[in-house]
Amino acid sequence: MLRFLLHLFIPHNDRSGRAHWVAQRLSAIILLPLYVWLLLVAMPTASNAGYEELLLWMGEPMNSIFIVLTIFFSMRHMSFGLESIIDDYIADPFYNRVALLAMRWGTLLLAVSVLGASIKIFLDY
Amino acid sequence: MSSERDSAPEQQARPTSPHLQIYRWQWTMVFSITHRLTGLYISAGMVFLSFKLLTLAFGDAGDFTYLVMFGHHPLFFAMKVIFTWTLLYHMLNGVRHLVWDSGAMLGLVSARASGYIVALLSVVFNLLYWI
Repeated sequence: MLRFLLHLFIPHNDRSGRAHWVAQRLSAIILLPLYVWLLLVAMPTASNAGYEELLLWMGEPMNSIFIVLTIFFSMRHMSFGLESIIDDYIADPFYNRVALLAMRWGTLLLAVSVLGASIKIFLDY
Repeated sequence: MSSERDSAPEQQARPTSPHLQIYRWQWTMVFSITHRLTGLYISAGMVFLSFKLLTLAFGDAGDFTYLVMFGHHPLFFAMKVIFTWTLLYHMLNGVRHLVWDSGAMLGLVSARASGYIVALLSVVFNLLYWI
């Protein structure tokens, strides 16, 4: 179970594919309520609010947490999905490896950047 | 994925997935490939959203005005409507996959019917969302 949880947070090679399978589904279940929130709360707010108003809204503790969770698990879930696509369509072992590493660490970097951005907004507003 | 796999000589020239053109088209495979394509579209959308959040945190009011201007473009509005549909489809079809993973509804009839229901609901929900 610990290995599955690790795979949910940090990209690593999983020889059997079982951790990938479990983490993909765990991230999907976590994302379901978060996307309902994104569609019904976050997107309407973001398209109607002014600059200050939007940053104040994003700085509220619950909203910051939801934003960070949504982006983080989206990046992880996206990583699992893109991994399957890369494995299906890039046969060359070298390019397969390069694409996987770039995609896995790129998505994680973006997730961590958004965490930083949310902390900054939380502290500033 | 692992270095063992890469180094095994018989696995050096691994085949790619069978190309879609060789299959006789069936609705079930359309639902399946749509799941993957909507996943790709959402991926692009979430990367965009992440950069938008970074711009908001590290930019100023001028950058925000630029984002709003960009957001009012009809093309961007169309992309947003497609985004919510892809999201709804991927979520609903994702639930369908989770049900399958539990071992339920794997029969031909229910697999086909649930596919149509998911497609229909995603369109209906998206209409309700934007009206």
